[in-house]
Amino acid sequence: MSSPIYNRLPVLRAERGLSRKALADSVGVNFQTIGYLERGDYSPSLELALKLSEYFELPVEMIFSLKPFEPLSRIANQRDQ
Amino acid sequence: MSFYMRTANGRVAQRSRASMRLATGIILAGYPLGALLTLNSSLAGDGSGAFALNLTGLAIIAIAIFAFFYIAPSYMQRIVGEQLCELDDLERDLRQKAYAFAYHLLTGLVASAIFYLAVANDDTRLTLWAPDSYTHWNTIFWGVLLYCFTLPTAYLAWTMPDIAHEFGEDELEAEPVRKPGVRWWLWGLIIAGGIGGFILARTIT
Repeated sequence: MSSPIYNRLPVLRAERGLSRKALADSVGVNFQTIGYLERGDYSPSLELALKLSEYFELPVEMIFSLKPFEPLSRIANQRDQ
Repeated sequence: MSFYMRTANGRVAQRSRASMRLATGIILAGYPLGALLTLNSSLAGDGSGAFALNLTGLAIIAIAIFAFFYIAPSYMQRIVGEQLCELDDLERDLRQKAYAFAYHLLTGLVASAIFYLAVANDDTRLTLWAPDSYTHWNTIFWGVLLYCFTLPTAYLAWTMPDIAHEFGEDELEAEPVRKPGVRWWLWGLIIAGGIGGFILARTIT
């Protein structure tokens, strides 16, 4: 059984004020697919992961990970300290 | 084998997971039940009992067919029946899983049915029922066709997480409207099949 792939899509989308529909149109998928991705019900193909990476202008590993992401608030707090 | 029925405005009809489960359940259970009642109505005699049984069977079959037309324009049916080039990553993945499930179930059913027919035709001591008329085979044919169309969708209805409630009306309304295209090759195939079947039936009889 494949391990779950965690992602930061909801955070990245919220940062940019994007709707699922707008993001879906940008990467050429159905808006429900973005919903499934965000919920972790579906692991994206390499092609889709690269398209999302290109769209957000971030490395793939900053969007998807095999381990749960640390909350951004904690990262910011650690950086401040 | 399946197909997807585009709506007149090109939008995918919104169906809840519960309604899809109910509709596919009605199709998969209703058609065989209706067919059994109709085909065995003669067992109730020649009077009004047989007529009522026949009518009940036909009504259940009609409900099953209506249920199919309810699911035909849905998002799940789109996943299993739309042209592959129109689907995205997730939808292709789901289609593969749905078809794999339907293939396993159908091959199991067909193998069981052939085994049963072999026993029913071979062992005269058991006096098992076996289809022996055009009506029997016609009912089986349409049943198999309905199962082929419905099984992949039923798999999705029972396995896909329900996320429709997470989307606002504005998102659902914003779905792009795509003018429905006419798939001439599909209609050609259906008409050619109908003509071929008609000629074959006339030749045999």
